[in-house]
Amino acid sequence: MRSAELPDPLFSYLADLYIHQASPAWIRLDSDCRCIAEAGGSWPRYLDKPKLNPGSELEEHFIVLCGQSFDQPFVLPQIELQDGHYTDIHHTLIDGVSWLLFLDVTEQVSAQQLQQQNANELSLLKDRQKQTLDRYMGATIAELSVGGKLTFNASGERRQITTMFIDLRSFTLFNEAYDPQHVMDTLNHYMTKMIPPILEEHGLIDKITGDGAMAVFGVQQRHAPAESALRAACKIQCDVADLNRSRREQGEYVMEVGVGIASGEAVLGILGAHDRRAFTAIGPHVNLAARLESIAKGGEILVDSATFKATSHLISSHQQMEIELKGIGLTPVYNLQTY
Amino acid sequence: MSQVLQKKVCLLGAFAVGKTSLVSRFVKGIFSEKYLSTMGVKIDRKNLQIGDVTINMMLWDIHGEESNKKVPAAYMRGTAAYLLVVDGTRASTIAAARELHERMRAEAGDIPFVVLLNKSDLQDEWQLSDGNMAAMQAEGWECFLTSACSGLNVDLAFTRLAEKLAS
Repeated sequence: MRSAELPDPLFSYLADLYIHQASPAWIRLDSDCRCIAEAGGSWPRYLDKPKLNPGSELEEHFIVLCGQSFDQPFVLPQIELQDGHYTDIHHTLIDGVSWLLFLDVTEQVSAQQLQQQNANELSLLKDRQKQTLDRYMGATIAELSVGGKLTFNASGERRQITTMFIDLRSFTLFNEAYDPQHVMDTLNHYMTKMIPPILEEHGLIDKITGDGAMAVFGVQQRHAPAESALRAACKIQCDVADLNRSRREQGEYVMEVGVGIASGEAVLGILGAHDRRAFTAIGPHVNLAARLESIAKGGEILVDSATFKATSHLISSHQQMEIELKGIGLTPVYNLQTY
Repeated sequence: MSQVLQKKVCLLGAFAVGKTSLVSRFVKGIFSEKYLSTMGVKIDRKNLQIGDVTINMMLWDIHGEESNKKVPAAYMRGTAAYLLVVDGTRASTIAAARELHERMRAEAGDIPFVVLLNKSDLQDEWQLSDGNMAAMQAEGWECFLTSACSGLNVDLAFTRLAEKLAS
């Protein structure tokens, strides 16, 4: 009886089972651990040319053991000695003699590989999804969304928000006069000035419409959405003005941005069906913001009464007007000309 | 007479940063788009001539570092130099490189290393900011923008490491 729990025949059976499965091969090293003193076992499993002659140098046969120190026991797991074949290499010291034991773990590694591949691909997919969302929604919202923490009922949720429309002036003329590739490159250049300020203020890009965009503030961060929108608008006007100065110096076509902002209650929700769904905000002030943007000249920020009241402490100068807006009627409008 | 130095060189980094592709580009001059996660270690060899010294690099292509699968210290023992690989399209892979760098220093001391900011051909997906790059350089990391796909700076980075080993 070798074990208190197992009778000898079963112990032998188990030992044979696992020993056979592991196809062990072994080497006894010489006293300075540089050369092979003796070798045995299933070497064809591990080496193309399994001639391990006594006295031959270990490093000639195994580059994995080059520079290895043999003063302590060690295990080198999952070494791919041959393509697709994995080996655990154990070094052990018994009575001052160094032994190397090679065990075939190809089967186990192959099973793990499948799981690992799936896990890694899933993780990469999640990263890519986050990056895509990041570009359009900003890092914080993307993280919440991927983590499943940013959710809306399909039936909608009422919330006080601020909506901003931005649009490039003179784009139609530019589009008609230049090569489409040049138009695309230029638009992207302007977008790099128009989109980041929105994301920095935790705004959500609802849609990009070629030469403009609609953004919503107050979705992810509920505090003072009108202030966030106004700060984003001022930064956009400032950055686009800088860009235009440099484009003028280089003799390139310049475009200015018109901005319309309005605040009010809206219903936030998901519109669409099955595989094609999109976030949207619906409320009377959304239409008002669009109308304000449509009448804003380049460099202007037009806001409604609600936005003006919520941000008056941030505004140093403004011009108040009453304008007849299509489909809305006579409306008080505040022009916060930025330059 | 030419001196021959045999050196163990490890490639370290998070999973899917392109370690295997970099070795494949450097040793065999080939690149595959297909991603196959590395298990354990695969060892390749390449000689580089630096002046009158031949560096015989034994390249340990080690599996990617993951939260549930750390690179064992046994792989790091006896390393003469290493390449830290970062995926430029995933800024999060800097943290894994930094952790592996610390563990390698604890295991092997201050040995030569270079940092490869890989996948530089994917400019549209590039995530490393000027701030990220400046922080790495401030730590004294010698960084190379590489692409295993196009081959950009791959030979240069390995050769630079070989120069450090030869000096």
